[in-house]
Amino acid sequence: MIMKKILKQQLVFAVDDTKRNVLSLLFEFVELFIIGILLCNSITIICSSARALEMAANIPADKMLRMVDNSSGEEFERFINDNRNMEKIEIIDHLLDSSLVERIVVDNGMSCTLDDGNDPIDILRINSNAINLYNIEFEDAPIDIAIFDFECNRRRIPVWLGASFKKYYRIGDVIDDDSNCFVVKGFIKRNAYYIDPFQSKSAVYLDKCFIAPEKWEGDELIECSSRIFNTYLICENKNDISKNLGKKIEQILGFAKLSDVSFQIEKCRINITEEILTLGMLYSVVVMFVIIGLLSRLYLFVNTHKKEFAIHVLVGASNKDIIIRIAEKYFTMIVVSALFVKFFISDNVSWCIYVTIEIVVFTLIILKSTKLFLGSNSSAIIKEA
Amino acid sequence: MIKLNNIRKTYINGSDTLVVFENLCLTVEDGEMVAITGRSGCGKTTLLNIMGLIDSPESGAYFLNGNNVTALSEKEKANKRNKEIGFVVQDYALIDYYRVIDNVALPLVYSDVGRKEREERALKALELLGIEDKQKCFPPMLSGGQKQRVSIARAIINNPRILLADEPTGALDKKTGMAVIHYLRKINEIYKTTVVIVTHNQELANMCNRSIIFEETLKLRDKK
Repeated sequence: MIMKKILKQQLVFAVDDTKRNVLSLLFEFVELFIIGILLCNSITIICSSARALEMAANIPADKMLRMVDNSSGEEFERFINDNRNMEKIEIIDHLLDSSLVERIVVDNGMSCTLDDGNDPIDILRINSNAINLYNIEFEDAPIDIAIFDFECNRRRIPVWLGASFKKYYRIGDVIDDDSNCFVVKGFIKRNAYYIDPFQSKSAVYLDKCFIAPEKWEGDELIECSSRIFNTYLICENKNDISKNLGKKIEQILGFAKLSDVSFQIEKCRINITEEILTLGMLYSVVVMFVIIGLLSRLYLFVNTHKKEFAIHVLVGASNKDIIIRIAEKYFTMIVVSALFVKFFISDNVSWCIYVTIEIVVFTLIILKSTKLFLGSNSSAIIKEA
Repeated sequence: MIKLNNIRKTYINGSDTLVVFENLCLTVEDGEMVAITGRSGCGKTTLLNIMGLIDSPESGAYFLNGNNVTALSEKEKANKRNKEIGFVVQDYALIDYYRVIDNVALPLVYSDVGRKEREERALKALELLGIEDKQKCFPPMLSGGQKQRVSIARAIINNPRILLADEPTGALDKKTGMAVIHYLRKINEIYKTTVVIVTHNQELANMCNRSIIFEETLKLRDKK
């Protein structure tokens, strides 16, 4: 009852204070908000990078081979412009499918342009093995991923959209491109990615991509070739496969060969580790700013209000009343900024870490205030003011 | 009534201990108007702070209106400050961003008085001090004398039995200072409030019923 009375009394002053210092509070709030967004994003990226590193570590690099195109650009151009080569590609396709290896296809050679005229969106044509290897997760899972291994009708290509498209599309929507028609089957979980050692960024995020089955009805030579040259093989006896299957492939297609990618995957791991270290440093700086920012706010608040607090003590407030007032102000600030940050950040883990840091700083603020006001008697506060 | 028995107060400065008073005894009867004078740094303000329950003695006993208040908790002391003591200080101790009426009504917030009654009582106190027309102003808009009158109005709003004034005229010119003393006398006479004034100003001390002088020997000399 007494506590309720004190809370109410001090809330009146806290509200008055807010009214008087709207601009300053707005500035504090924006500062907290920006720090929150920065912090959440840093945490999200670091968590994703850490997961990517774990994934890269789990990729069986010592068992992986990749189809590599050793042609000059012109040679490849001539090849894909001659439809008679389709037969060669089909044979290689068949060889890759029928050999005792696990075939992984992640073909990023396709894109589509939507009606809104924005940049083209990458469409990854992948198979079920790729989904398993990269542990790509879907919203509203489980789905039957075998669907990725079947050839699909170009007028009804099933696609799963990256998390960024969730606000624009719903399951069952039809997206028309010039030559294809996509049916939205679902959404990929936010921050899903795959590892591509041959791209500039090792972990390729799928938030802004579509994924679709690897084979589309009526695929042309260029599309089939793209699929072939974006194939990885996982095999126990890498040397034998490289020797036998690689030889057969080279006999059919002079410029194609199976290549060991363990070096590239190792490089990929190093890249991701460096990325995590860089982001870790950035993250530490952001956390440091969070703590310095919030504590300096307290220091400023207590200093600018010291005279007022002293006068309150003089006319009948106890030191506890003053601490309650500070607590009310900061508790409100923290709750409001945390809610605003939640509105912009969908990743719950990073938001929870942000809130935890805020709570820690809030506790520090209260401990410091307690030390300041409970540790000294009223005359000391008045003298200091 | 204020009764101090064998009060000892020291300040510790590094390894040095400065004894401000030792075995100090003092009684101020109800309705008295007492001036405390003495050289700078002799402990006048410390004594006033002990009387006002914003500082505590190391030893001795303090009886306020018959109750021993030496060992009260911080909350109880705050309650006594709110209900039984009014403070007037040299620099007025007004909150610049509160209106005059809100400054005056501040003690009533801690007495659980509703907003409407707070404003009514604050206005009455301002009327008594002759500055009711300044109720909506902010302190920086007032002269020194007006600020001190606001400060007095705040000190008496809860009808305290004791009013403690620390150099109430220290920041004012002679004429304004005399006006402030006039108001303190008026309060003492009308409400029978015990008034204790700490001052350097001998002229002001002479206007009180009783004058207490702090001497070098840490003793008090009473001049009735």
